[in-house]
Amino acid sequence: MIARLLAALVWLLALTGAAAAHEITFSHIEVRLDPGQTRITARLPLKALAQNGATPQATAEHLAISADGRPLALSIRSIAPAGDDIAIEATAPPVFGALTVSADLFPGDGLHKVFVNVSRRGDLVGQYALDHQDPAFALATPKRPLAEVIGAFIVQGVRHIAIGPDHILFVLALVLLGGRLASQAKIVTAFTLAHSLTLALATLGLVHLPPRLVESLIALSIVVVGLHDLRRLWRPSAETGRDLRAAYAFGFGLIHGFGFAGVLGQLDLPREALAWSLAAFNIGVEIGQLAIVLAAAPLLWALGRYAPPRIARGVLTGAAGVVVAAGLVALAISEHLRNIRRMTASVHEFSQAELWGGSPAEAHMLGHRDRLRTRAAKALNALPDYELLELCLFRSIPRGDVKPLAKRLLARFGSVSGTLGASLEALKTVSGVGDAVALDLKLMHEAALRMGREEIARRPVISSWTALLAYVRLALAHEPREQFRVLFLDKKNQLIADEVMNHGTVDHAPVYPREVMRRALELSSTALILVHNHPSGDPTPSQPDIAMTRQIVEAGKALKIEVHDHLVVGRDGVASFRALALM
Amino acid sequence: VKAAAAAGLLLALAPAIAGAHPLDEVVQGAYLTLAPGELRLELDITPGTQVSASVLTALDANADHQITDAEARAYGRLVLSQSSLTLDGAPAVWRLQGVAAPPYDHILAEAQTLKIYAVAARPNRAGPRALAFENRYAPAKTQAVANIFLQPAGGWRYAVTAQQHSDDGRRLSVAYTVAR
Repeated sequence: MIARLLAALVWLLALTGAAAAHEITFSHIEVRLDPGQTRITARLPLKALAQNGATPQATAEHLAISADGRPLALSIRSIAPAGDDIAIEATAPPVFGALTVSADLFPGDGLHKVFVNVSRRGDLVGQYALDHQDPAFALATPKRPLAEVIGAFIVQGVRHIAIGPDHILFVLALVLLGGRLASQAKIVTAFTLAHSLTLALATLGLVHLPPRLVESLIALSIVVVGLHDLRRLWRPSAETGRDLRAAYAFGFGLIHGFGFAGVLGQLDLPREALAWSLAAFNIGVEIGQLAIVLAAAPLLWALGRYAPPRIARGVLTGAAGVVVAAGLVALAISEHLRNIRRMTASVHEFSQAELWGGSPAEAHMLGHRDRLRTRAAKALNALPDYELLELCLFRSIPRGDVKPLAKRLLARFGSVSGTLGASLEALKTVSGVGDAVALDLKLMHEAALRMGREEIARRPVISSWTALLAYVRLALAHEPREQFRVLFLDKKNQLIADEVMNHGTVDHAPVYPREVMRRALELSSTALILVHNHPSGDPTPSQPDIAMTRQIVEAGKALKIEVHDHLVVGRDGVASFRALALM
Repeated sequence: VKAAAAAGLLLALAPAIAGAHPLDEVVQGAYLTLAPGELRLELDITPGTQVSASVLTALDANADHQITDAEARAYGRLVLSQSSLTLDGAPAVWRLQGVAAPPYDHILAEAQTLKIYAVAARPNRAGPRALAFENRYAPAKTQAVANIFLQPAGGWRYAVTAQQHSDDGRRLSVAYTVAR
C-alpha cells in the first residue's frame, strides 16, 4: 500500500505544473446506514489534499457522524489510492434516530465541496453538498416499519413483567393453588381482560389514577390473593366454598392495568401506530406472564403428584406466606419500589444504549420525542416556542413529558429569550426545574451570547448593526438589575472588549466617566458604544441617562475617543441615542 | 518510516501547489436539490481577488464598502435574473430565499464565497420528468459547475436517468423519474 501511496505522490509531483487552475475540488462521501453498522466511504481528491497540505488521516478527523446528537466513533479500516483520489473506508456503530454528518474536510479551503450520499438498506435517503460555510446536515429519523414498532413494544411488555416483582408475585399467587385447566384458564383470561381494559383506557387518557395509589393497590392485591391462598390451604371448609381467584384476577387486574399504563406512558407511544403499540405491549405482557405460569406449572404439578399431601400443603403454605410477606413489604415501601423500578429501567436502557450505540431514547425508538426531533431537523426555525424549549429540556430530562414544563416556563418568563435570560435562581422557582435543567437553559443562553459576540467581533461593529442589536438584546433585555456595559472598539471599529462597567439596582447603575475613559486608554480603544438596560422593559432614555451620556462624550473628546452611540435595552426594544438625535 | 516519509513529502509539496492558484476568475457552483414540491438552488459565487471588484460593484450598490441585507438581496435577484430554469419544458421562476455575503473587506482581501439560496415550486407528480438550468451570470472570467442532488421524503422517490452538462459548466439538463 505504501508503494501505491508513493506512486500517488509521484503523480502529485507531476501535477504541480498543471495545478495552476483556480478549480473547485470535490470530495465524495457515501454513508450507508445498515442495521448492524454504518459504513462510510470517503474519496478525497489528491489535488485537494495537496492544495491544503493535508494528510488523509488528518482530513478524516474532520468527518463526524452523530445519532441524535451523540457522536459515533469512526474506525478507519483502510486508506488507499483510487485513481485521482485517496479512498478511505471506515465503519461506525449503527445509527438510530436523527443522523447528523459534519464534513468540513478542508477548513482552510473555502472552495472545496463535499458531496454526501446517504443510503439506508440500499435505498437513497438524501444527497447533500457541504462546504466550510455549511459543513453539516441533519437527516430526520425515518418512519419505522410497523413490524419494527410492534416488535419493540412486545419486548417492552415482556421486559416490564421481567423487572416488576409485584406482577410476578401476583401471577404466582393466582396460580399457586393449581386446579383444573379450565379454572386456570378462567383466572388468566380474567386477569388479561381486566388489565387490557384499564391499560387501554389509561393510555388513551380516558381514565387516570395517581401512580402512588396504583402501586399501593397492586401491593395490596398481592397480599389479598396470598391470604386467600393461605385460607384455602388451611381451612378445609373453604375448599367447598367459591374459589375467588378469578374474581380477584379481574378486580385487581383492573388495577394492574393502570400500572402497565404508567410504564407504557413513559415509552412515548407513536401516535400514528397507537393501537398497534398498545396491542403489542399487551402481547408482551401476556408472554411475560405465560412464561411465569409455564415455569411454575411443572413444579406445582410435580408437588401435587409426588409429594405427600402434608408436605405439599406445607410447601404451598410457605410459598403463599412468602407472597403475603412480600406483598406487605411492597405495600410498606411502594414508593421506594417505584424508584427501584425506575432505576432498574434506567440501567437496562443504559445497557441497551451502550450495546447499540444509541441513546435511551433510541432504545425506545419511538414516540413524541422522535417526532419532534424529526420536525426540528426539517425546520428548526418553524417550531413554536414551547417545542423549542421541549427540545432543550430533552437534554436534561431524559424521559417523560416535558411539554407542561416548557409551557410553565413560557408562562412564567414570557418568551424563549426571557426563559433563557432568567437567572438560575429564578428558573429554579418553577416547578420541575432543578439544578440540571436550570444549568442547561443557562448553557443555551451563554452559547447564544458567545455566538453573538463572535458575530460582532469578526467584523466592524458599525457595519454589523443588526448583529450588534441582537447581541445587546440577548445580553441585557432580561437582566433583572440595571447593568452598564461598554463596547470598546479599535480604529477599524472592530470590537476589542465588551465589559460590564457597573451593576446597579433595578433602576440605577452608577457610571463614572473617568472609569470608562481609563479603561478605554488601557485597551487603546478609540471608540465606544455605551449600552445599558432598563429592567422595567421600556427602553426610552431618562434625563439622567442623557446627562450621563453627555459627560462621557465630553470626556472622550479631550482624549480623542469617540462615543458612537448609547443603546438602551429593554424587553420592548432597543433605543439608540444616535437615532433619537440625543447625541 | 515510509508512511511518515510519504506524508512529509505530501506536506512539503503542498505549499508549492497551493501558492499556484490564480485569482483572476469567478468560480460559480450551482447546486440544485430535488425535494418534494420544490427544487432548491444554492448558488455559490467565489470571486478571485483580482476580479472581486467586478462582483463588489454590483453587490455594494451605494459603494460605501458595507454590504447591507438589502444590497445582498438585490444582488441575489440580479444574479437569479441572469439564470433560467425550465421544469418539464415550462419556464419556472426562482424565489429568492436569502443571500449569505461575507463582509466587503473580506471579499476584497481573499477568495470568499457568496451564497444565494432560492427555491422554485414544482408539482409532485409521478413519472418521467426533466429540468434544465442555465446560469448566465458572468461578471468576469468565470468557471462554472452545476450539480443535481436528490432528497426524497414523504414517500416520494427520485432517480436521475440522464444528465448533461454544457462544456462551460453553465448549463445542466437532467432527466429524472419520480415515483411514490
